[in-house]
Amino acid sequence: MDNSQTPQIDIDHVAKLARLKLTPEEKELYTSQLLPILEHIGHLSQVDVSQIVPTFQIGKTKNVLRPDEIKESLPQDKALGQANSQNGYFIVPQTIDK
Amino acid sequence: MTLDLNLLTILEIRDLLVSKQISCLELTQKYLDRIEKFDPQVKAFITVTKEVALNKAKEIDTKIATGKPLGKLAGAVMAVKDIYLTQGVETTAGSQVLKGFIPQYSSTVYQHLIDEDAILIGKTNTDTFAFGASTENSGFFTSHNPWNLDLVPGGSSGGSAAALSAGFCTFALGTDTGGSIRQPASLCGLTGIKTTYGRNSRYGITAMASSFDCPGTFTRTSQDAALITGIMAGHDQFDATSSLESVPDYLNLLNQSKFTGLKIGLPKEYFEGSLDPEVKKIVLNNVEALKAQGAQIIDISLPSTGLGIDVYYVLVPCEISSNMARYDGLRFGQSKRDQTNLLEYYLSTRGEFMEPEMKRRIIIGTYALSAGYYDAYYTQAWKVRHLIQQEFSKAFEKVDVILAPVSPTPAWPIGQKANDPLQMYLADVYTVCINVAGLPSLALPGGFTAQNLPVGFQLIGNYFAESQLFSLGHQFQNLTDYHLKSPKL
Repeated sequence: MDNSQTPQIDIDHVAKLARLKLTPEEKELYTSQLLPILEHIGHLSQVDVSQIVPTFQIGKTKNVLRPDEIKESLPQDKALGQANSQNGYFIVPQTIDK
Repeated sequence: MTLDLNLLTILEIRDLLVSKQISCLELTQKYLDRIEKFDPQVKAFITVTKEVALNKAKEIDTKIATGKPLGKLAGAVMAVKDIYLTQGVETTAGSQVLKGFIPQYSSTVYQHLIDEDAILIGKTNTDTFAFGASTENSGFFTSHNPWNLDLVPGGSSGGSAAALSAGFCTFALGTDTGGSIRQPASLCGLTGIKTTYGRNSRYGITAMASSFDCPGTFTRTSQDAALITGIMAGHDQFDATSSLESVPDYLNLLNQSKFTGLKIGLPKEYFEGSLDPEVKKIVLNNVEALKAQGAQIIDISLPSTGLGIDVYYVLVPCEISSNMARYDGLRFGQSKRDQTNLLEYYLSTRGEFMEPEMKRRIIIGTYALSAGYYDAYYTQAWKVRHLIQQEFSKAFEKVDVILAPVSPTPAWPIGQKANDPLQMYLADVYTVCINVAGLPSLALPGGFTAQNLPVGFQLIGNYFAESQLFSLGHQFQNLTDYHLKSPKL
């Protein structure tokens, strides 16, 4: 990120990555609301963090592992209970051409 | 018998039941009557679980009649933020996305409380998936502050705070990702605990930001908070980030800490800037009161405080954009089933049902994590997060606890910040750093403004120092009566 420039946001690209269909009005609204937020969070780039070793967790726990054992889990009828399903399968739109 | 539902604590209820001064069914019905009478104004609940509550009450009465052992929370009526999964009871997360969703299992901490005979009375309003600071981002309606119905109750756990403040329950559950328990507790005159990250299991609670989220409680007293946290806390095989640290007997440790000789740090950064003068005065009055009890007040500095909001509003949306990817409409929740193309199905399901704040945060997070920006935002924010954490650790070498305001202002009018997301985000300025660092913090009622609005302050402890915070909170509430005040509805 170049600090000297006002942040830019390609809303169509981001919306596509996020799998969100946005109306033209939404695109305009979110772009205008996001720019001041991006400017605000841009302060972070100026912080000297040369002494910090990056890690990505906050607690003391590390590498939590468990034996790979088969255990009881949600039965099929319950797992499908909140979905559009048929014959024990989730129904999804067609993904492969006939 | 006449009972002030606004004042009953869990231990008092248990005594009333055991001594047969009231049946659990009668007591529960009193809460339900109060909800029926006043919730149309307060709008704390998305769902009132009348049948569930009455059935559980009957079960408890049978236990009492037949001399069977009672759970530690017997008769305590509980309102639960609607992001906790409750098996068989609709859980919406305050969003149209999950409208109609009936969970197949319950969250771990909720189940612990039910197992100790707590009574579920309803699911409370929240900003959509807990994204907000006022409940105005709820996909259903805005909750009102019982102290003044024109004002917000705070958020995101605003429905839970409003419910307890209005006397609709004995205690309530919330979650605190950036202040969402402490801030509404402060705005509604309640005691709110944000525990150390990992103290309470997150399993079965809709995820907002997984490295920040902390389930916790709203109670009238620090004593009740100690009792409930003792039951909620502990390791959970279904949450790998839940801590293996043993859970102390908080309730029996309530007298362990004293203000005499206690070193209380006052971080100067928390008393500057946008802090409302009346709030500042109330918080400092409490500092004086503690000094009079023999506490030693030490001025400290947490220089990176101002960066907390920036770290928070990078990392949290990043985690949100990742967590929200599961809402594809295929396995649960509402969906656009008329779409025949898979991509179109995802796009329109998410475009149609997700609320504006959800889209806004997903967009920020997706942007910050996208190619070319990841290191500048995400990696950099994690480094600054550790910087903030180190500053707290250094401070705790000099002081036992840190005292600070919770919200820069008392409750504000509904609508005032609703159209300016940045202003709404800045409302979290005194609470987010504690989540950034993963520390515990107890919000306590500390007084009232000239307009009779409650103001709270927070005691921030070192990692896993909850027993100290509950104990200090208990001592404070033995000295003051702010927590005994309730709004007139």
